[in-house]
Amino acid sequence: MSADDQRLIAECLQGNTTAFGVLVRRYQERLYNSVYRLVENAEDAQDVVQEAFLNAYQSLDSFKGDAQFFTWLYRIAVNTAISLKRKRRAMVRMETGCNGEQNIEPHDRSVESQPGYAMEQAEQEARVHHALSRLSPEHRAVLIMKDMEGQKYETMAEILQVPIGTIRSRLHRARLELRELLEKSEEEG
Amino acid sequence: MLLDRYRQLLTAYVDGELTNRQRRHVARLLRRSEEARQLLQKLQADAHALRHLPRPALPTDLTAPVLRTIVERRLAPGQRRIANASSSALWVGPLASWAAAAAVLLILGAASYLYFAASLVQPEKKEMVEKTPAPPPSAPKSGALDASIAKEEKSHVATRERPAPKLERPVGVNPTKVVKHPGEKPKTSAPASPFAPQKPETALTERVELFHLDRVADLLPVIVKVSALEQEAQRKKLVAELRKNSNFRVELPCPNGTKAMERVQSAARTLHFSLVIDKQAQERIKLKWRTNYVLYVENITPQELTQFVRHIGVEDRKSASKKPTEAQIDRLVLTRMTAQHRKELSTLLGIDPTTTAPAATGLLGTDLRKPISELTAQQVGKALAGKGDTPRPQAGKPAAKPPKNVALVLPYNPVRPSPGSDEIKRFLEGRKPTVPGTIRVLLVLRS
Repeated sequence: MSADDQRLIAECLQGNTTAFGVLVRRYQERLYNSVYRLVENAEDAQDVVQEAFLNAYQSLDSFKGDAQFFTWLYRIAVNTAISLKRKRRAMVRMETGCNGEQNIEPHDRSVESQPGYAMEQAEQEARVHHALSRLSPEHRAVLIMKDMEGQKYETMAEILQVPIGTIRSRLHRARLELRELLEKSEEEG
Repeated sequence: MLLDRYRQLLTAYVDGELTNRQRRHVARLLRRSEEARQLLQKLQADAHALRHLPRPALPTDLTAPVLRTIVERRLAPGQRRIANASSSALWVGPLASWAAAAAVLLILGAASYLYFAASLVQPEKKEMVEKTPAPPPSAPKSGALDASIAKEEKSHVATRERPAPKLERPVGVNPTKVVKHPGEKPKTSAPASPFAPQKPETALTERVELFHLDRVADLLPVIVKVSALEQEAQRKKLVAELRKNSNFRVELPCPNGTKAMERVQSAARTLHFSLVIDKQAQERIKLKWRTNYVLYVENITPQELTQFVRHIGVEDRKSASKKPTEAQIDRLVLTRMTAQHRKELSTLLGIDPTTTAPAATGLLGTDLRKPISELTAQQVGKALAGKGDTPRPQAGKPAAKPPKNVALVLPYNPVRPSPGSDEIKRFLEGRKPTVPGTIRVLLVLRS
């Protein structure tokens, strides 16, 4: 864990909530990115991230510092997000891009010089997004952590509190299931 | 259609978490199978697509709302406990589920027994009891608790320092008495284990002394994350737990017992523990057969055991640092040795060492039960051959001290044990009288 995070946590434990504000500002974006993919809804994602920070604040004294602060925070957020998804019916909501889109970062347009490229890209993204949304929360979580966050099996096992073997098998099933969904989607055109 | 184990290899390849050997296997598979090549290409494309999905930007800064909520709700650190990587309180795994189920069954059984026993008592004997003197420590405990645990307590109190429980209600109270404490909150008895779940306090106007929740909590296994033992606070907690009894069973679940055994051997070398390894176990270790193992050690202090387990974890992390898939040891499950465990130990060793005293030995460590001449001859022969327990001192150098801790290592096979091996005999012959403040431990490495 970085020395700066350690210092901020120590200050929080002494009652300095401003120090916690620094931590929120530091990690909220990254946390939101992952949680959004889990819950697929901007409002829910904000709620989950906010809830995760509040839970983390209340549990700060139990954070022992043997893992990265973000990993610990991420675990709280992932568990909250998975619980939320289980409770609610999965809804596929597309945050479609359009002019003035505020919640999706713009692509790097330098490669989009071929005619129809933008359309193809958008269609491909939509297919992947749709397929991802149809996975179970547990499968979606491991794929997001692995491919979008670049986490190792060991970190993922720590976050989800399951053995490494479970992570390996979940990822295996998740990848095959995603492949199957994408193939069906390609066949349907 | 590709076999599932090949598909697993390919998905693990996409994950980037293969060993060199597995990567070579994948390379061979790809060379010979067009189907494997196509599937890998598609899986890699899917992973690429996921990595390049647009990253949603956070619409609003959440700092102010979070801080405002903290102030409004008067939140403070320490209000909520969440199991984190280093907490030893929670482990959502099959062992914890089984332990919880076992505890529920035990409580139900105890409650049923006491309920039916209470129904036989005449009404006039149900009266208010304020205080009754606590029975002496040697008195047998009532209730449906394991009688062997009660016997263990009896001998345990004499040798161990244990804080006297503060009781408003008596320890061995007759379960048929109804205690009326109008509006009074019941008080907890013995200090709670740092690992035990919290007991809710309720204010009851009438309660029946059915059983002792603190004793039930004491029977539950304690699960500790091995890496947490790097912290002194966690080590102290484990030592405190180990001081509560003198016989324990420690289980280290691991995917591959033989690899875990390698970590144990390295830790033993670091701490100068001596391992007496049964011949069958030696063969299995040498051939790297996947086997479960058990270690039995006596006269080890709680601190020494904690350090030993800690070093096993250190060795495991060293091996896993280059290959994460090589990690073997994650948690330890600590339980007091029950009658069932002692029976298992007897099966493995041929005797129950917890009830069989070591051989009486004289000043020279000789077994006084054997004819002196025979034993002396053996020992003299060994000493001359340099194979005695104490190494021959080299000229000009002080004699090496024998290792303080000696552990017997066996393949863990309680179904088909082989208790007659030379190593087991040698270990049993070398046993020493119990040293106060030490414990006996059965350490099991199994998948």
